[in-house]
Amino acid sequence: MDELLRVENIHRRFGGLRVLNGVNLSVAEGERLAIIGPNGAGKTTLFNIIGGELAPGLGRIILGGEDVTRRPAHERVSRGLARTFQTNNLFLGLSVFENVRLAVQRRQGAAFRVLQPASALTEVSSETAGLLARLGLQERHLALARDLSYGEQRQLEVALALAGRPRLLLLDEPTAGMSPAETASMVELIRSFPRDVTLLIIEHDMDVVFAIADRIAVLHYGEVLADGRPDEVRNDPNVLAVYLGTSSAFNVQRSTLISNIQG
Amino acid sequence: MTSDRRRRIGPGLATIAALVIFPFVSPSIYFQNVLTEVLIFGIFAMSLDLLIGYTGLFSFGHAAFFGVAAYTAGIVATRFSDNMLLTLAAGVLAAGLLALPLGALSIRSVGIYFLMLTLAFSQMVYAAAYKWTWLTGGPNGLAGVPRPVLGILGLDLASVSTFYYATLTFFLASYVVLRRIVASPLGHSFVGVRENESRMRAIGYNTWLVKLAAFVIAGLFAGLAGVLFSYFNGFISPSDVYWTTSGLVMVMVIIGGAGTLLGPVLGAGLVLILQNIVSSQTDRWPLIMGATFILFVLVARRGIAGIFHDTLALARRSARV
Repeated sequence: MDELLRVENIHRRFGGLRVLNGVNLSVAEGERLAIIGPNGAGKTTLFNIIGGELAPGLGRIILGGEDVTRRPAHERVSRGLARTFQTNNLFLGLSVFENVRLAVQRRQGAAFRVLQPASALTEVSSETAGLLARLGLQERHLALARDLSYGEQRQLEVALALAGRPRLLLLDEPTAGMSPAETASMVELIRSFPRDVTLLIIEHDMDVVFAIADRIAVLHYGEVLADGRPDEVRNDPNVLAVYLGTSSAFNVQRSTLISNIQG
Repeated sequence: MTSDRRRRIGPGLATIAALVIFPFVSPSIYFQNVLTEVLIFGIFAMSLDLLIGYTGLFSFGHAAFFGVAAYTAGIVATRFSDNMLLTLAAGVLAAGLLALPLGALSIRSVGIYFLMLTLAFSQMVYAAAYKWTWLTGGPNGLAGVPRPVLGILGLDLASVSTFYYATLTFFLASYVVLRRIVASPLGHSFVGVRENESRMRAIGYNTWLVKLAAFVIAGLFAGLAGVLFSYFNGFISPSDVYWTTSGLVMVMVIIGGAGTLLGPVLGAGLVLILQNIVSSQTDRWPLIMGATFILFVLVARRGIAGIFHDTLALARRSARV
């Protein structure tokens, strides 16, 4: 498969704190890669560098074969990148419909039109309505984003990203703070994305990771500690040693590993 | 749907009708002049509202575009030709051409830094108006700007009521155009930047360009107001470009209610009418003005438009009960 994203030797420090220390990743078209790691491992910083919100100290970001390291965020979006944020980052004072409409009008190339009212752009309106229906938000389309429940805001966050019809979608903890039922429907939604949308997902919930990812990269103190198929990463002794004790899914793994060793 | 539309358009038509028959009802030249000035500053305030209320850009240098257009129109009228189309085009073009570089430089900064930059740039324009004596008349100002001649229609704009109607026409046209702009996709992009600029970038907007578009459009309409002011006043002084003029129009926007277009027009009306009444009684006009502003900021943050809106909502609710 063709490579869609290459993260090449990315370094970034904040003052004296080295957050990323030579990260290398290659993501193929259509792949679903989960990035896991303890808090402070640099996951969100890496997303901010891939998305263009932050510049790396060193290294390159190659998107679709093109070096976009020096390109601003909005130009990466027009090259097929979209992202969601760890903490909801919405247009809180605008309606749900208007939130998504803004993203749709940009993708349809209508953002700077001035000669006709926004309401007259029927293609923008119908695509917006379609997205809201797909996300299960159509009933709430007139509500202000700030009046949504937390789970609905997370869905709107995903709707804004999907509206860009991305080739590469970065999801930063899409289920953070959600109830089990909301998490299940978010997982369902993510699994329903077309297979040609390449996914990069930061997630702490290991059940979500294993339900979605074809591949897992473990970030630890700004370096890629392990990178491989879920079953490989699950059994990687380095990973077990430094990280996986925190998750119940891996506790089982670890205890079987330990009993294997002891046995 | 039609009745809803009628309810929305009805008060507007009534207001327009009232403005049209005003010179017949009140033949007083004084009041016609006051209303003319209100309409001119109404255009000026609406243009700033596009920045403050819609795009979230607190420009403290908006008088630069008003003033440059007024000076340009005045200079063209006194030295070359008092043809209306010529002076108007020259003034508005000058404001737009100034807004382009000043906007491009200012909008890279946000918040208080943006405010300080726009203030600094407009004070540079003031300094130029003050020092460039052979062109602008310097501290003495530019006197003797004639009322323009509209050759084709044979209108004599020297008459108070004719000039009032000309200003009213420009005001209504500006309102319609600005209303259309804020309802357009571009207008929605402005609001998106106001609400969350970083999210706009993350969904693919070049927010720098969106803000520049708002800045230049606002500059053009401030320029139109400046040209009309030069005709109206017949005299332009450096104080028309001074930061106090920027402050005055900002007060009009905030008292009137930012983000509503018509609110700032009401703000212009309140400020100018109050100014005319109070300053004929006492020298303490700035004190009254300041107190009024503080009152609005403390108890009516959404301005006159907000008070109207709440009163209407209350009336509708009690009508239903």
